[in-house]
Amino acid sequence: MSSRRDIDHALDEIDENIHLFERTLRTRVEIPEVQAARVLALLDGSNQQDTVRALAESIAARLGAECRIHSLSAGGEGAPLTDDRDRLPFEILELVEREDFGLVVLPTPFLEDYLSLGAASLGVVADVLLARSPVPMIHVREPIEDIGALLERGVLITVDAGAEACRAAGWMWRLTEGPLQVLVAMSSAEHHAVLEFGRTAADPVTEEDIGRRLGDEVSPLLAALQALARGADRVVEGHAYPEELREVLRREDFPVCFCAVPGRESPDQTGPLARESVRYCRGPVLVVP
Amino acid sequence: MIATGGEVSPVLMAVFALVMVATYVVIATEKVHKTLAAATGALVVLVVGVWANVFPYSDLYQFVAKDLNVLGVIIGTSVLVEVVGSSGLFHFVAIRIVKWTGGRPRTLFTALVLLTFVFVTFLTIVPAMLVLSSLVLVVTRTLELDPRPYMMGIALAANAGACTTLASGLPNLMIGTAAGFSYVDFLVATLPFSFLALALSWLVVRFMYGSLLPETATSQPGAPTHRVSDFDEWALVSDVRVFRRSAIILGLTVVGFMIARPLRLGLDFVAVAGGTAALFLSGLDVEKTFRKVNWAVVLFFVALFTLIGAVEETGLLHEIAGRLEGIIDGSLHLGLGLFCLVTGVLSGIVDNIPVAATMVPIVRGLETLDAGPLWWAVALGANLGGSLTPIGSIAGVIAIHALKKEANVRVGWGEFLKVGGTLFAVQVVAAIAYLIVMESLGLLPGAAS
Repeated sequence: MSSRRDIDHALDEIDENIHLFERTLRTRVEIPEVQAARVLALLDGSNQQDTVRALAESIAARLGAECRIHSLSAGGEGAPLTDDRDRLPFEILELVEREDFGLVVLPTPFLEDYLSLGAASLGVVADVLLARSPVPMIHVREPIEDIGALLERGVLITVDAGAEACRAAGWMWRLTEGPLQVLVAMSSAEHHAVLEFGRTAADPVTEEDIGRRLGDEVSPLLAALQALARGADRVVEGHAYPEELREVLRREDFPVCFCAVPGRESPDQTGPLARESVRYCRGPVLVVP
Repeated sequence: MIATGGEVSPVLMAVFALVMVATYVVIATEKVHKTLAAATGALVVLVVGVWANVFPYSDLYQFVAKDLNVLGVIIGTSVLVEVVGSSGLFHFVAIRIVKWTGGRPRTLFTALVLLTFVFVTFLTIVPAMLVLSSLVLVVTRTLELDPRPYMMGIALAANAGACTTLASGLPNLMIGTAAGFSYVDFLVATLPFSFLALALSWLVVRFMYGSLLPETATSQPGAPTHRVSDFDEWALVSDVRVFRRSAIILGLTVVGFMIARPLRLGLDFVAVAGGTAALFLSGLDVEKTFRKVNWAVVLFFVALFTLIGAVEETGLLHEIAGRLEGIIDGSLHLGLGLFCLVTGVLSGIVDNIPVAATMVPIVRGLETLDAGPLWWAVALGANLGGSLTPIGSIAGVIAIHALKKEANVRVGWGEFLKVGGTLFAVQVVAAIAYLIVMESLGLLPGAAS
């Protein structure tokens, strides 16, 4: 009646469908509404400076917030925050707290040479801000001319549906107005840990298992975003990759786009996902603590 | 052995018969893939037919051309179902219905049986079973219910649903094409019986598995995810615009099937138009979607049409038709019973597609009997036969293997024959009675060709 191959194929599809139905049973999460009364743009005279300013102004307009511009160095626009380079990140944090900024946009130049050297640091300022910032920060990596087109779509990078991921989703939802993609892929450290664990198990973990598990973890967040999308005539899609995040971000077909990522692993430590996102994305990256 | 003067010798006829039977045996025993078996059989009869001057090689294209619309419908509906399925529409409807039942086992059973019937009517058996068998496994696991009655219920209801329309199953399409029936003709002739067959399926499974269908589920009230109300039907809808468009295109395609004849168009046109529109408006990857079409089935049909066409050229099937007329002896009612029963039993043993493909030229070859009502006997028999054995229909095959793999529940031949065999006997008797009554009242649409 039906060959073994047909039956196996049907059983694989049933497996996939069971998985889909089970996903619809997961705990629901809420995407919080986010708001910032003030947006801070930090300029440093680099090639990214114009993008930082234009992006901060566009976002401030979208949020109905006030946009203020400060200079990071003597070469930038306006008076520099400090001449002491070592103090700079702490001056920024104090300024954010003192003036009650809800969002910061700053340049964190994308340096291919650093990547090829395998450098872990993004620079002193970016490293400290990633670890300590109490408010979301957008790291502008490469100059972008069309800010309007940039904010048309967004990519949320996450591996779970935790509170930080939901906040990051809330920001992405608020700042963009077109299609939203939820990109699920692990940082290299997590990826290797899972594979290592899989090798020692009797039933080894496959790449497909990883992709599926990641999709499961994120599915409540995806469902919550899709519920928002239905009311707003927007599209939200999820893509789970059983690969390292950096491999996905380095793909030729991965566009230069606006990305958001949950930021912390612990109160003082930057999550590896946030670090890798900022390192390998060419578009602006919103890191949400 | 060589054919001369348009007559084919009995020995040559026997060779063709042998090749056809051998091909069917190989298909039934699954020794090799059915497409490969049919292709081998087709190649052999082609070589013998051309070498023995039974037909010129160019006739090959006529064998396939007669049923070319079947291939168009398969390809068009495959694309349409793939696109609509990706939109989350089927999962959405299925979850919403399950939620509506509140998880009450008996209501759930009835709802799933009805839903299967509707899905098969519009989607054919395979896509419907893939979605609904998965849902049964998840819901019964969640509610801590035995999945057997539900799975058997949907598998047997699927065969009843396959009787409903010209596009519900491939045997219907082949028979409808050969007889020249329209989509509406099919509805008029088979819809009332499909409801009856569905009710019988519900009754038999409900009776056989009554003890496994309690009034209430034993789900723990303290476990919030263990309730059907926790299913989120929207969770699998990624793009609500594609979702809406898919629903509209599917609806329009069904309407298109109904009005194709007055518009002087074929069902294949409607199916391909529906598939094209769905692809165009969904934004799905075209190549990836085309890869989902079951090309093995398409090629199986090409090979089967060649095999049957070649055998028909020998006059063998005409000869069988003549013998059958001798047995029937002018009694149309006896003919209805015989064709329905024989087609049904054969379809329970061999794939119903080659059975229908073989019965088509036999019915067409009848000379003294009015073939019109007999087409319906073949159509109903081919679909109902699926309930007879666990291998009679893809619905039963999917149900049994999914139960074993996903729920570690074994339904053996004995259990299936007890439930399915009983149902088959009841349904075939009902089908014969129904056809006799309909024929006596002049309500059966006649063949156009």
